[in-house]
Amino acid sequence: MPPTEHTFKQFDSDLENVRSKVLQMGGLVESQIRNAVRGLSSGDLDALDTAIEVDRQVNEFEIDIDEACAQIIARRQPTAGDLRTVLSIAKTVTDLERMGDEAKKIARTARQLLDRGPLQVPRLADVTHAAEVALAQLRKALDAYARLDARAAQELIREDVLLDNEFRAIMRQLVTYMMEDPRTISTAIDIVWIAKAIERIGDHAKNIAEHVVYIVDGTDIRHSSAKSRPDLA
Amino acid sequence: MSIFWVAPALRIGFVVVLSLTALVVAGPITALAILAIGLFGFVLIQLRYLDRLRRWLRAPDVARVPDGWGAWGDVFSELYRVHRREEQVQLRLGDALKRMELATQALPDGVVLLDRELRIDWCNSVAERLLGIDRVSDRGRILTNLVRYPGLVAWLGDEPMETPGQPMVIETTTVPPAFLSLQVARFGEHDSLLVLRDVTAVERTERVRRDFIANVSHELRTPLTVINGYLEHMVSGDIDGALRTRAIQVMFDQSQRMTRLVEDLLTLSRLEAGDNPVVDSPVDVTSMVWALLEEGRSLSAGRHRIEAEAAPIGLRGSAEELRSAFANLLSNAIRYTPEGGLIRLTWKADGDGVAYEVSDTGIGIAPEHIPRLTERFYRVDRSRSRETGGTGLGLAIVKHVLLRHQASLVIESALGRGAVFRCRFPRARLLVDGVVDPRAVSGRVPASA
Repeated sequence: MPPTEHTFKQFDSDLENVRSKVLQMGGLVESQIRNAVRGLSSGDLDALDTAIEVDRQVNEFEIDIDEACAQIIARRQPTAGDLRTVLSIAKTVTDLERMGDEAKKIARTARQLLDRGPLQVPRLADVTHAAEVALAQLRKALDAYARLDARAAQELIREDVLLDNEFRAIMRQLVTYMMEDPRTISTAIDIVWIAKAIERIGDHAKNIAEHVVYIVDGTDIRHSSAKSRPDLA
Repeated sequence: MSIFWVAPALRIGFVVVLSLTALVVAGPITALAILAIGLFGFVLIQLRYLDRLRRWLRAPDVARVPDGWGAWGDVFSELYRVHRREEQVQLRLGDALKRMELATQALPDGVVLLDRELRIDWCNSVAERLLGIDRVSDRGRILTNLVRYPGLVAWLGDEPMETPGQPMVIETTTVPPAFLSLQVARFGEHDSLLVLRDVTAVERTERVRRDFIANVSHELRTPLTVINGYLEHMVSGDIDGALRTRAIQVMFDQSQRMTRLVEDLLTLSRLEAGDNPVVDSPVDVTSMVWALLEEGRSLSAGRHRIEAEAAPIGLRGSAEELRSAFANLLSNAIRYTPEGGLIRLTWKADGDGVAYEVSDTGIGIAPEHIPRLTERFYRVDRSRSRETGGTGLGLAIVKHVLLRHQASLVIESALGRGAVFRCRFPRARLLVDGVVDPRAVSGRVPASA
């Protein structure tokens, strides 16, 4: 049976549904990260628990969307732009799921920190600031994904350096703390874990931005530096 | 027969008469030729006008309705009238639409029109700002793809058709986050109208209130737990001489702490009450500073060096309130400065006005805590401030006293570098002749805890 216009319409709406689901999952991960960071900075244990529990929902989303992608590939055999969309959905979902794991890690570590007693955490303000930067990047990445805005995505890819610098600055300061007062080492190490998780969240946000460029332009810009890409320079 | 038919009938009649005349004069062939040429010309003219009409219809323009000959003139003028009327109706409609749009733009609330698939159809500028969407470029995009608050999709889908249901409060992902209250109303077949209101301020007050109650209960419960514990032991009788004396001392301390807390709470609520105008009598701050210096030295019991410097400047205000605020800042400095530190009290002219300043060489305050210090029960380090006996309300009281005197509190500090608390009073609060007549000052206020 040759495909009719109706078949195409159905396919488009299937694809749109899955895309919406990815963005809903993104929203869930956004709130999960926010809860984890808020719990860390304010000592709100409920927020930390929410961040840990919500991870299960995030995982369910991943399974659900992967299944839907498999269905679309098997039933419709998409090509060109549609195929790129389906492939990038699968990859974006993986990135989001990893971010969820990182958020859970932050929440768990924060719980340990808080359980250890009064929170005299060195450089906590810097960590929260880095987390805000990471959250802003995730928001921009998801916005670019929703709007299929390759320009915004490329801007975001360039911004990734910000968070890397932030992470390095935190590390440097923590090292001086640990050298000055060895009693802070266990706390400082926990903070390093958290800072690393935040930096990873930024990396995943960048990956999502790269998927957006891939969907729109069809060029795979992963693992290439900004210099070798005239379009980004 | 209408007038419309007269002109064409006359023209056709003229051709027929001409050909009949030719039939009589020149025979049937000439007559037929004339008839054919006449009718042919007639058809040609009609076609030409028809073509003009077609061309005009392709790009209708009232100013350029073609002129017509004969019956076409009628048709064209009729067309002109219809079109003119339509244009006016359209103009009026456009005006009405523009007014409606302006009205919705002027709404203080955000408005978004959504279709059945939750795609954005239209929104006003408030909604654009609150949700970070663009009316033009985001038209036709699914709203929940751009506003990704968990549970929003389900809520939008579940809302009942007829009655507007409970509003939903979402938190935006902007920095700092804003809280929006959403309400949805259905209209038409499957469309919906989303109304959003910024409730960040409400949400914040609500949180402050909740935190406050939780904090007060917590602060009262801690001493009560201690007292209860000892009392239980005493009731069961297994407590002997020495322990008993100690228990009574601890219970006494705890009940004093509770008293202090309740007193501070009462002071705060009195300061906040709107119907309590600030006393406006002359205050001899200079003597007050010297008295505070003595009190500070006895409180510190020789553990710190305390110095004071006071210019002879008087202030208008409430001696009692100012005293409690100044004493509060001093006792904080003593509490947070390690043994051997230096604490300075200064009362001197400061720019246009005058300032009371307490500086210390204590542990200092990290920058992220400074803006929140005057919040009730805000503690930089929970365990520390409680063991030093603070109620967590001191700086809140200071802030309120200063507010009532149009003064401001400036805090300068960094971790490990001590702190400076400066209360700056405006010029309007200064006593005109500078110094207070000692006789005019009512008796010194008794020291409060």
